[in-house]
Amino acid sequence: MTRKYLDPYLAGVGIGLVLLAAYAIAGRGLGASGAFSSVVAAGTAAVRGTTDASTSAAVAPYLPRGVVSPLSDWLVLELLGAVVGGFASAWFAGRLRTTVERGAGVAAGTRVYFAAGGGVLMGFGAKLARGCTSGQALSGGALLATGSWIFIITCFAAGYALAPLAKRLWR
Amino acid sequence: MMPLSETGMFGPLATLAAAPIVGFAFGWFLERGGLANARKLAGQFYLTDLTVFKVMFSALLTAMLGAFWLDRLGVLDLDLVYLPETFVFPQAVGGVLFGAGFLVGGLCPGTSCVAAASGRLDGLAVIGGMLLGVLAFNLTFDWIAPFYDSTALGQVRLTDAIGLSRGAGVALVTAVALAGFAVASRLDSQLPTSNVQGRALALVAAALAVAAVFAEGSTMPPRFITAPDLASRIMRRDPDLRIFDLRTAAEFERFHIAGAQQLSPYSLRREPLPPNWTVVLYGNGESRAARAWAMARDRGADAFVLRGGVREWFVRVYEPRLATDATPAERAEFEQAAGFSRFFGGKPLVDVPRNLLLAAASIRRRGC
Repeated sequence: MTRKYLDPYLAGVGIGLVLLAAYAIAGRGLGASGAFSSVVAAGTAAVRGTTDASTSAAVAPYLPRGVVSPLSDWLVLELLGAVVGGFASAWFAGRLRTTVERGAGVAAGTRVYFAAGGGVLMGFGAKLARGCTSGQALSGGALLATGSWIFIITCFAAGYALAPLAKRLWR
Repeated sequence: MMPLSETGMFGPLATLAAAPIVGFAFGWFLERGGLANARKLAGQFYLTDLTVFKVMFSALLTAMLGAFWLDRLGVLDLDLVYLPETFVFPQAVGGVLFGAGFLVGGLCPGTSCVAAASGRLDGLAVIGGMLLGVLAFNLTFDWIAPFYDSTALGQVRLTDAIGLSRGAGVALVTAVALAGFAVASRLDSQLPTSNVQGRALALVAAALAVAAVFAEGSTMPPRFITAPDLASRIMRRDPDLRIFDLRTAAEFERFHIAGAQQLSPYSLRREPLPPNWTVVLYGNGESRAARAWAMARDRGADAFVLRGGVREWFVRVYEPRLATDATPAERAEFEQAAGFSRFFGGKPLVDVPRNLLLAAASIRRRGC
């Protein structure tokens, strides 16, 4: 039997306390897209057969001192923890199910293609913005970083402005 | 004193070991709140489900108010918590692309991982797309780089950008978020929400926010002295110069400016500050010293705050760096700084690749 979701405000307070713990322990916020960057950077370095961080400006910040194991990276370990935490929560709540979440009139295949396309846009956008909803909007926003608020506003403005065009995906 | 990783309480390994634990709790609460479900997230854009807004802004308020007050109480030094840098246009364009992707994908990077972990294949598809998007960015980086680095404002807080005290900024964000919550609860009044709990939390947030204004109401910017200026005054052996290090004793032990005296902001209140002294205050960054500066000024002292704190001292005086492709102006500044560096027993570094110029100075690398 499936349990109800936690009250969103309480879930938010929980995430806020986790973020506060990240500030207090590691001196940095939570993140997600940075972990993707590390994985891709390590992959690129492996394909090119180099560990020299200075060869590519795009991947350099994600290969500190030539270390190429993404497992030595705070964000990668944090995100792996989030995967386990999400799995555990879904399991205890009886929400563990192999399925594709989609709008009523949308085929599963279509939804998967759009999900991947959205992922490409988000991957590129997060790189340009130097962070995503976790690292930029939430972690930077709570510190009142100017760029984080620029990101929050433009991200949601674009989402709402384009929402009518994507209506068929979600209804 | 926290952050533990920055004040030497936690080594790199202990900090790394905390990452999966912090992440576990993050993933747990995301899933508990329903954010592993793409339909719930997409509902945000059609105002049919406001879970994203509620979770995100109550998390933001909790962390913002918590961080502000822990800093004020001297438990957490916010100067040492990494503040993302601001690049106006890249972040605006990145935000638009990201928002479009969020709408179409129905999940964001963090929630896609949690969705995939709970068996949602669309979450897996978003992850795959994300990796491709990052790769596409890296492959086209040489072409994008000029735009990527444009309109850089550095590490600037919204409050400093618009000339508001940090306490007032915290209160403003809280007010806007609470107003948003009130609207949200009207929009989906058909859903039974825990009204009592919600109101209690809102009251606590409002009280903390109002108190923040009183705790840090003044907007008076302090007088600054730059690291090279301070270095030359020390080298001139100015007899009236007094330098106070406002960090912890442990941080002082590891590194401090020559001739500085370690003092907590609290004991500075009882320190005699004759008006003929030139008092220089510094912390890791500027905010702690700026607060102490206001107190010292009220007592009639001729006080300055070290611009950029001990970190800037480190980069511009103690261990200056010269890029491989330095401009003549940078070379001239480096020559001067190298003189300082030798005087203070530091180590000037030459031939540093430009992209590592600042990376090496900050203690760890950054990223979302």
